[in-house]
Amino acid sequence: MSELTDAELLKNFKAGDTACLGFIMERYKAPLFSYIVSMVKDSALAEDIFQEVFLKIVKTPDCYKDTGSFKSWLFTVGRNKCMDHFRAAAAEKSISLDAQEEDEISLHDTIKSDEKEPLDTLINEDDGEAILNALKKLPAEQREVITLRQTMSFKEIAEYLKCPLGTVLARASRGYKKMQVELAKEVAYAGK
Amino acid sequence: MQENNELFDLLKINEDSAMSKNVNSIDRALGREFAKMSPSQKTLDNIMAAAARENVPAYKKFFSLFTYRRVLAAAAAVFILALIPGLMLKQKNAGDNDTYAYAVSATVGDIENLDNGLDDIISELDYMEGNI
Repeated sequence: MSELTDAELLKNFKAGDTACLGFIMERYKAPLFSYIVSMVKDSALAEDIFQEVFLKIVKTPDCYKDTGSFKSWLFTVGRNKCMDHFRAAAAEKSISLDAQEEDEISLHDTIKSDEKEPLDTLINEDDGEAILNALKKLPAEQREVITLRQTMSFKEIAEYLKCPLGTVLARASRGYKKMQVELAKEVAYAGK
Repeated sequence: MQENNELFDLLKINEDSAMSKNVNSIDRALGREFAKMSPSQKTLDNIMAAAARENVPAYKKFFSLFTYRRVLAAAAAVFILALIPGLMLKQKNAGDNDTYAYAVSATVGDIENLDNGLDDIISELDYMEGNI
């Protein structure tokens, strides 16, 4: 059953096989949840949003038209729910959502860097917190691309975000560069 | 997790460079951390419970409408709806009967009057015949 495609599982779910939703959830719970956490930076809120995404499938399973990738559709629903949350929060607190502007580092400045950074010594299985902290410090757009990279190719991300591939690559390279800098700082701090 | 060769190719970076290795290290570490992330079992259970409640085949949904109370209420509604026109029809019939009875009595009265009139005419004719 778990070898079925997403569309087949959803079709079976619509036909009344509730277990198929469990397989879909099992398949996407980690990537979707981590994506939502990276967007809202709050795991309790991310749980609520994750639940809302799947309740949308439960209540209106026909809202997914079998025309594109189910994965992209699912992440789009998750993203829209996060945006709904940001809008509601902004309306409440009257805060600017665009506080984190992308800085103006040129692509070549970041990507041509050959400096060696001792990341391999830092990034091991016990230092998950450091990598997640470095991710949290990125601007939202760069964080989103790097998070999506775990489940999608760059071309899929560009299609999903409806922006040019070059933009996606630029955001990714800037994000990776900043993460390297952050992790290098962690190494320096740990070495003191 | 796929490697970032796509990124390195497009940006013309050597896949063996320190930069490339670092990017791949970050991605692998993120992959490990993301794999550990998961919503709580309670959230997953809530979703599955909602699915079990909501996701039933159309025919089951249809038959689930026929609960004991609903059937009883529907029967009562049909009974009342049938009773009202029945009562109205009964009243109409009673009125029709009254009208008929009145019409018959009036006709009988008219015939009696006609009968009396004829008797008068006959007696007048007899009187005239006697005088002739």
